[in-house]
Amino acid sequence: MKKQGEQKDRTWILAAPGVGYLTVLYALPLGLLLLASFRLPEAFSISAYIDFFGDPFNWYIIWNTLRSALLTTAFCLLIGYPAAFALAWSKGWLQSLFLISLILPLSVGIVVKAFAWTIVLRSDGVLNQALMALGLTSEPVRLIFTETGLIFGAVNVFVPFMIMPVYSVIRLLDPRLAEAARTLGAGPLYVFWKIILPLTVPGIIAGIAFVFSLALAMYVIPTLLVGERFMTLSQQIARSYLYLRNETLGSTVAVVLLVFSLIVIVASQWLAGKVRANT
Amino acid sequence: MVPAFDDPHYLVAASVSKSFQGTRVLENLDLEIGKGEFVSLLGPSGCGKTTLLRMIAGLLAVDGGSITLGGKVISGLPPHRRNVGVVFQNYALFPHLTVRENIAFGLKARGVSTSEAKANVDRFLELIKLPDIAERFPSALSGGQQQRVAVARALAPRPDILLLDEPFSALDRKLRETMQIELKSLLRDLGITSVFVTHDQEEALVMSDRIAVMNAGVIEQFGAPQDIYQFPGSRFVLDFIGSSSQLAGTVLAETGGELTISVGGSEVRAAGRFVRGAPVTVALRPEDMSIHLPGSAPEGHNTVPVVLRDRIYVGARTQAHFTGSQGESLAIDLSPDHAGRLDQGATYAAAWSPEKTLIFPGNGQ
Repeated sequence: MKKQGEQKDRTWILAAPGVGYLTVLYALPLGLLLLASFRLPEAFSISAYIDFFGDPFNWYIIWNTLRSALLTTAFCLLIGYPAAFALAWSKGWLQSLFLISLILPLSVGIVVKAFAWTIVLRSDGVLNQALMALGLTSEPVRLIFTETGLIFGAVNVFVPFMIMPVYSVIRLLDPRLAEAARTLGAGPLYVFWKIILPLTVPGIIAGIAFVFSLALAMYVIPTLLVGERFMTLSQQIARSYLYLRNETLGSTVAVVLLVFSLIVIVASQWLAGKVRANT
Repeated sequence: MVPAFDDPHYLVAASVSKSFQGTRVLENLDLEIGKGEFVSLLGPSGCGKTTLLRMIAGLLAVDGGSITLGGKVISGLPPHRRNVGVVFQNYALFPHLTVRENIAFGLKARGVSTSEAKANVDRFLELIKLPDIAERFPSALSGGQQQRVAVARALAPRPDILLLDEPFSALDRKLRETMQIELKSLLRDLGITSVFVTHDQEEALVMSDRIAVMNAGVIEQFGAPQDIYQFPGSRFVLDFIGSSSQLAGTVLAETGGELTISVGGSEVRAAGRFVRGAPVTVALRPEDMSIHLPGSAPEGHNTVPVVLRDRIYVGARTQAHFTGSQGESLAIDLSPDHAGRLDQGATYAAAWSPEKTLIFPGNGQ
């Protein structure tokens, strides 16, 4: 029974345009595409998956995809976590400078970036010249068209997606908590491990989820920096549709990739919920 | 219980200075606090009281001067090597730790064994009368409970001094009064030296052994609450602590510390030393004055004529507002049987005894 004077909840109206747009232009076509992996509409069959997982080459592709995404995420965390503190704790023009240098590169297309990296990474590139000048290596290290080069580029593109969520959590961090810990006899390292790190975990989880799911699905960066010699799931999808004209294979790989992404998102939501329940 | 004032130089701030971006916040400030004493730093916002507290805690560096605690210079030490306890204004409880873990934090950070820490935490949970909430997180506590946990957390590692930064400001009035009494008796039982920052004069009067009234980076007066209230050392202290009526006057004569002052045509006597003709302000507390029909004031009292403007009922007492002969406003507490029998607009005699008269140089003219 409806209580008198109770307002009907109409919040959903606010979401309607977004949901409508995504349903018509994204979810429906994607659904149809993915159904193709089950050989519908003619018949239902999971033979495409049996074929896919029965081929060792596909396992190699999955491993490539996961490993490069993991490495990219790890380096983004390593670089992005301290950078987020620098961004949050700097003041005035320095903070503006940090913010600009974080956001401006996002507006430069990946293609432009990729050609900039080749200047840095090629055998007579900036990086190799520096390494040789420092005496760290006697001859050029092969960087371009390798996984190292790929990680180098991917970290460059995705690191803002690590910095931003961590930064927003740090900004909400009450500076008095660290002060309170100091006056209670905790040295700087103890304060970091017991107070700052645990309280920034939600930002770390969000950053990892962002970067990992973006890195799982990246296509342009590996295509431009490594090419065919380093296959990932995204490249395999493109190859299936564009070159092999094998729609079933393409949608099968797409489903596999989608499942990985879903696992990442669900796991991070679950973790974030667990962390939140404890605070 | 440790007897108070064991060591009158337990905490010593010697000519401490501090500037922020070229603005002097503290100017060669000196302060000495005895062991076991409860001292309030009282003043308006921006007077430097919190700055001084943060410098004692080590959260701010001193620009000049030194701070000594128990004979040891601490002003060069980082906060975690000072053995101070701090209760912050918003309590700053660790949101990801339970009440027990919050209280144990200082003990764990100092490397105290788990079993010893547990015994200590249990003792403090008993002391703050909250043994049942040990496993809760701070977000599940009421404001009063959070404050008690913050006090227990600061006290558990047995600090040499407890610093409190406006710990009652987030509580409602009723709860605040209870917590003040509770905290005061807890700290007295533990015999711990405490420095308490507040802008609330009532709070300072209730809690303190001594009050340092601060204004614009200097200590205007440092003394027991009664002394500060009864004998304010400056116009600032007078205005800041309690309320008072102020009358402009001129010294007519001075003989052996006895002053005769002209206040708007009335002659008023008081103790003090001023030269003849000096402009002075005569200040009076509302409870030190009484109201009489003209000509019937007690013998030997000072009197001035006043006109009743309005009455304000404050519960336990009634305060009446009068206008003096020079247009000054006078607030006077009335006895209950008096309150109803006064007529608005009528002229009365405000009377007070000469020894209750407070005299300050200058009369604002």
